[in-house]
Amino acid sequence: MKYVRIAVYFMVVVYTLLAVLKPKKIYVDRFTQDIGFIEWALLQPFPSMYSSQSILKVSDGRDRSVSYPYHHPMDHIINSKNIFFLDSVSYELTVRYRGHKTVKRFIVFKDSLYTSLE
Amino acid sequence: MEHDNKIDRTLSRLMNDPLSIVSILFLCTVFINIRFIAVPLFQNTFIKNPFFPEYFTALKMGFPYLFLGVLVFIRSKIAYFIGVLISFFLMIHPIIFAKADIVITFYLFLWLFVKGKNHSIFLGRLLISFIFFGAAVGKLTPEWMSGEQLNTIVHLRKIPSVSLVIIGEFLVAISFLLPFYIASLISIFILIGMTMSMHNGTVIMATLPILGMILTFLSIVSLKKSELRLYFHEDEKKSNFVRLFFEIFKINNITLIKFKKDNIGKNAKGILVKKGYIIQGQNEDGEFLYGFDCYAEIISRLAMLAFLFPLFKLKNHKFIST
Repeated sequence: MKYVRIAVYFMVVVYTLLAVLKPKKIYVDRFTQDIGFIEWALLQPFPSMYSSQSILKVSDGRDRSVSYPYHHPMDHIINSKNIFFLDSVSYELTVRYRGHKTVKRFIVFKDSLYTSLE
Repeated sequence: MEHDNKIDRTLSRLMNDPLSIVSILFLCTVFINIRFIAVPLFQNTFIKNPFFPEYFTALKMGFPYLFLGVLVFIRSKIAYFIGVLISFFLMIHPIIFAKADIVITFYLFLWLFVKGKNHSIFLGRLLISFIFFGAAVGKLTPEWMSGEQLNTIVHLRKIPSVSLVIIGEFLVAISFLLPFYIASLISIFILIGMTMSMHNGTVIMATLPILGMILTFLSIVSLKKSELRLYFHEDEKKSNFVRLFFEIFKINNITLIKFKKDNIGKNAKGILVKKGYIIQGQNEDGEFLYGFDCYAEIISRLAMLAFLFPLFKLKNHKFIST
């Protein structure tokens, strides 16, 4: 158990260093899912409550577009099945943190998500 | 009769275990959270996302999440390890997407798993600080400093000043470096402030487990193991309620003694024992305790309430020197 405890201290140090040295991975790529699933999963325990600026533009296919700020924008997209009862909805997600910015487009068609980087 | 004994034993075990505080508060968190995410958790109603492996998204996490509320009461390393695994799976499942309260659940079970017999209070405090470090450092951006981003958080009752938010989170982030009691007081104050500032308890699922951990640390540090004798007033009408309380919970290290006329008068040190009190305490050194001091000594032996001991001692300003 002593070694597990040391591993936890090590984990805290590694995450802290990542947040300082590789902020794009933690604060941007994690939310836009521009990394592999395993790497993304390993970054999830890092707490970054409301740090990144995420703006989600939702277009419902009837030429209406609304912008929302979100803590976890992907959460909104993936769980939005109960919110938009339409066949096709498109999203434009902007995640910004300091000088880093990524814009990503998503289309939801027949309960499946399709993505494209701008 | 046996049934009554089982209830008594369970209540007694709860009262004598400082971890009961964090367990009960976490159970409350589970019930509050279920209100918000029950449908997606139990029915897996989400849009298919090719980012997640298919076999993984097929897992329904409703019952595992409820099971965490049970695991937190089982005092076993295996239970805590299962708790770490479930909370990690929840964290990376598309249904949860690393909601703050699930991230905190992960760290709570991680601390329970690694804490060992000495409770590793420092590690627990470090994990709480780490959670707030991520939040505080992440907010040092031009958008946050200008107040632009704070205005977009829809759950706030009233928009606070940006510096208040960042300084508050920063103070909890460095709290593991501060003296224990001062750090606990600051953290509790900030957590309650955070909870009160949001509508409908939006952050309460995140703040309750952390609050539970801090109160547990305080209880572990304040818990006294030396024996305390309690003398009750001979008039049963006056002392029945308090006596019943101690008999139900069977508190460790507290011996219950009915007031006898022999006990009223002078104690071993020749000090007059006061007749007006319903209960009087006598500690290991034979010293008699009355009123507020007596209740403080009782509290320090109730594992679940021992976190209040520093507050009781605040009256005499003794806790600062401990």
